[in-house]
Amino acid sequence: MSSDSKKPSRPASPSSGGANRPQAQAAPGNSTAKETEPTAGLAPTPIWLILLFALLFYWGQLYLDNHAGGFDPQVYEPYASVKQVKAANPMSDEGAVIAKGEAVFNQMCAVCHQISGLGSAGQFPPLAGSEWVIEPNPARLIRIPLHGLTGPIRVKGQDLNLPVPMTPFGETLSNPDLAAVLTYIRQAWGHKAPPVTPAQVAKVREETASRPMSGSAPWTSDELLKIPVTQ
Amino acid sequence: MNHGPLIFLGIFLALAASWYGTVVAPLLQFGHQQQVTVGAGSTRYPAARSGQAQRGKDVYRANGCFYCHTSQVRQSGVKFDVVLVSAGTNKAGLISAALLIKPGITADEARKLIEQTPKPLLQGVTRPEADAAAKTLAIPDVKFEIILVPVGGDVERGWGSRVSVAQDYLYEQPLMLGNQRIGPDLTTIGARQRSAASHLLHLYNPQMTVKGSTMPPYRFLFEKRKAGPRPSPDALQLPAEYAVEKGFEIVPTEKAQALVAYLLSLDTQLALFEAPMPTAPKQPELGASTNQTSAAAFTNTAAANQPAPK
Amino acid sequence: MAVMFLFSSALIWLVIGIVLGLISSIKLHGPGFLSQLSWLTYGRVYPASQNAVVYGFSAQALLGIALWLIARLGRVSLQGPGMIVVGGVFWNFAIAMGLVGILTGNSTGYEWLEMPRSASSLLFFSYALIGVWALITFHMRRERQLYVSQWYLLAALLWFPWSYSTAQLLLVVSPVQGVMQAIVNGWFVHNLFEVWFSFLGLAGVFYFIPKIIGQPLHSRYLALFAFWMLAFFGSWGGVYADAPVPKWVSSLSIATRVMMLIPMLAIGLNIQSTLSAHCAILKTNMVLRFVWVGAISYLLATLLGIVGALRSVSEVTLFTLYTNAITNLQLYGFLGMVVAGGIYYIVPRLTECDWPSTGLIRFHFSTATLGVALLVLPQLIGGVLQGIKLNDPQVPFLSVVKSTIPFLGMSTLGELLLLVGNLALLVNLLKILPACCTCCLGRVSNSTPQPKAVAVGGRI
Repeated sequence: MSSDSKKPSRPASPSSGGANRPQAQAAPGNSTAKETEPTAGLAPTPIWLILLFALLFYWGQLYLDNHAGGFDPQVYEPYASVKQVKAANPMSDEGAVIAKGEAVFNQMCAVCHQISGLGSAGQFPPLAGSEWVIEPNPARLIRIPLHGLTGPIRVKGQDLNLPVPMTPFGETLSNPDLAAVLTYIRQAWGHKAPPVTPAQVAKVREETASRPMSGSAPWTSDELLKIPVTQ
Repeated sequence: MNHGPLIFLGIFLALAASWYGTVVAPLLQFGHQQQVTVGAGSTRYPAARSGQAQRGKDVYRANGCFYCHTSQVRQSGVKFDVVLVSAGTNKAGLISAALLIKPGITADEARKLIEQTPKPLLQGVTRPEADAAAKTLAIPDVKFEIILVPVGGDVERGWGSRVSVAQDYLYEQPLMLGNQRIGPDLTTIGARQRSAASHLLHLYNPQMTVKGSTMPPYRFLFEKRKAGPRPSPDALQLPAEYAVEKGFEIVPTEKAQALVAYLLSLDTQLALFEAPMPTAPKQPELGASTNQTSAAAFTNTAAANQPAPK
Repeated sequence: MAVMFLFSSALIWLVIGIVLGLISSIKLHGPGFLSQLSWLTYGRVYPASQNAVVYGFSAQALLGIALWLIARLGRVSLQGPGMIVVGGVFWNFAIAMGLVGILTGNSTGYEWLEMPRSASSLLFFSYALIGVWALITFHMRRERQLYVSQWYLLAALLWFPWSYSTAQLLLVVSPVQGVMQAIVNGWFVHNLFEVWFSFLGLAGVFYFIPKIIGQPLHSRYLALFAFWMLAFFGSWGGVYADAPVPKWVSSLSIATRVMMLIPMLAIGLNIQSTLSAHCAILKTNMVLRFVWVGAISYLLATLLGIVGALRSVSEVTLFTLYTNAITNLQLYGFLGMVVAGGIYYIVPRLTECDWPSTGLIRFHFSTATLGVALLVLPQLIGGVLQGIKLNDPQVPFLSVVKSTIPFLGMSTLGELLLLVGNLALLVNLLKILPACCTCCLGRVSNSTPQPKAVAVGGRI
């Protein structure tokens, strides 16, 4: 108990309080060692204050969720998130193509190959890290979405056999869209392969004009491997 | 109840936590930034300062200029303009598109709108609005641009084109951001007033260049000396009513020259990823070529400066 | 006597600081005033005045009060008074060096850390001398039970050397890059005001109020709750909204700043509950009046600080007189008044003499209170108006500046009043000293073991 030691002092206090008034104090020497020192009462901290503390703490967390820009070092005051910063930046032509490609990919391809590009084991081959995707010459790569793909294929050193043939997109996607989505997968997930141009897609379309795009003639791995990619 | 050790430990923890959260974490995250390459060319940003300008910064520090001047531009938001660059051949299509994105106008007004290019079709809209307009305008051989417009009092006063960010201050040592605006912000003073002579006159007697200025004169940065047969090349060209007695002239000291070199070095704000700004920077039109004093460059009346993006 | 030495030199610095402040304040509306001399230019006089008031006056006088309280509450005599006087001499020497450094253009360029390196090292060294003996006194205490004020004091003693040395290391000795300097600087200033000064000043408030009314403090728990809240949340922050740093840094500052509402309420509640039944004493006891005004100023300054930190408010008030108003309220309203109360209370006990003139005390109280009000209120109002105009690009900058001038004039008047009031305190103190030296020297031989410092050797 904090006030025990000073109990006898209480009655003396008012007079010592009065003595502190300089004007009322005529005789010096009042401040002896026996003078009492203040003590503190034991009133509890009011519950509303603790509740308010919890509330404010919670508010603080919410505030940081909304106003900290994801703790990203590139988000400054008028912007709320990296996404907003990106949107405010003038988009380069390349950036526009990638953005379009990403949109197409998320809409058309991610169902099987996943947003992560990892596919799903034994069913849909991965794109991330796949040598088919980052091959400098896109001649083989362009053919796959044009007409689809079937049968056994070796990707990243693993053999797998596609249980269902891949859907062809030659009819649904235009040349620029195809080029954009291929460029996207060649530069996403840490890839650094050169972009695919609409002209390249158009050229492949011409070369394979005789092949139906309805899904009746998907490519096989062996067929693709015969297409030269050296030049 | 002896709480000494408890207090000691608690205090240690509390201070360590705040030190970690507010000093160490930022230091680890962005305390070691590098110069970056900006734009298409090979401009490195920020550029290092010349020796004289660096000495001028010392004068700036020694005389506590930063107690009245900030060096930091604030920005309260961003808006976008959709600017028609070329109308192309499909006029009818463009007019109907214009009617769509600007609902209130008549067909005649729309026709007028697209007559001359470049012409801003929409001004001060949000990004989604601008994107929606872009979709509508996607007509073959119609060219348009979406231009970013930073907004905020500082930007509209012409104190800068965008918010100041960490990259801008990479080489500042000491960093003197200032926290009072008793005088205007100086982030881009070198672009607002490019004439060294005007800066010198202003330092010598601010009330002479800007009537009613509350800036103290810095006469001690100047020397009054006997004029030779010909006036010294760097002597101040004082207007008649402020001229010193005949046979004397006012010459800036090395310190004044250095300070002005420093002020003139404060002229760049380049577009950065974290702080984008309009690609074609707004021209700092004032005092750019003139050698005479331009009060507006110092006082920055809004009217004299930018065409406010509204 | 170590404490007396600290008090007297602190008061001299206060007067010097206010005189310098007055000069800089006049310069704001009459730029031609004293402009011929380089060392009297605004950008040098202003930081010199701030440093004189912060390190010369507030820090020194609060340390004096702290030493007295530590000895008094621990029921021991002050240990190492000689060393403390030596520390005090060095401290004053360091400040003199620092001010000369600032006035001759050798400021470091960091707010509240402007003193050149040699001065700041000496300052740190002399703090260490004083602080170590304060800690030893604390350790030797005979009363093992800790009163609330002792918590605050102990924390404060440890807080300053840490934050000061960290800031010096990261800014002056081996400077960090670019905006990191602003962050470190902001962190230091925030800790200086919101933690260190708060702890010292509140220790005084929590001692003098119950002491004078002769009743226990309302709640120990509430006081300790406030203590930990201040320590854990007050120490964050210091980076204003819109600073050129990634947004999360300033957001973190704002969030923790808002948390300061809790200790503010806890402290206010505690003082209010302690005092509520004894308001009558306020009318008669000058010490209590001083401390009471100080406590109110503290609460107000904290509240204004919280409000000013919010993004929507800061948009207007940043870079305006509003921030000055808060600093002045903390310095002159809170610290100045608590220190004055403390001096009025402690000096008669140390010297065993009464104040020669009660009239001067009353005069000091009225001028100081009015002075603080006149200094702070116009800056608050003027600052908000200035901010609104600054944000409106249609208002030419020059007319923004002109609109602040009447407010600046009023605060110059406030500063003048503060100067007059504190001169009254100084006169009173100077009168008490010669009268007392003789009387206490006579008493030293038969004095009871007193928590006051060794009486001999008191030289001012």
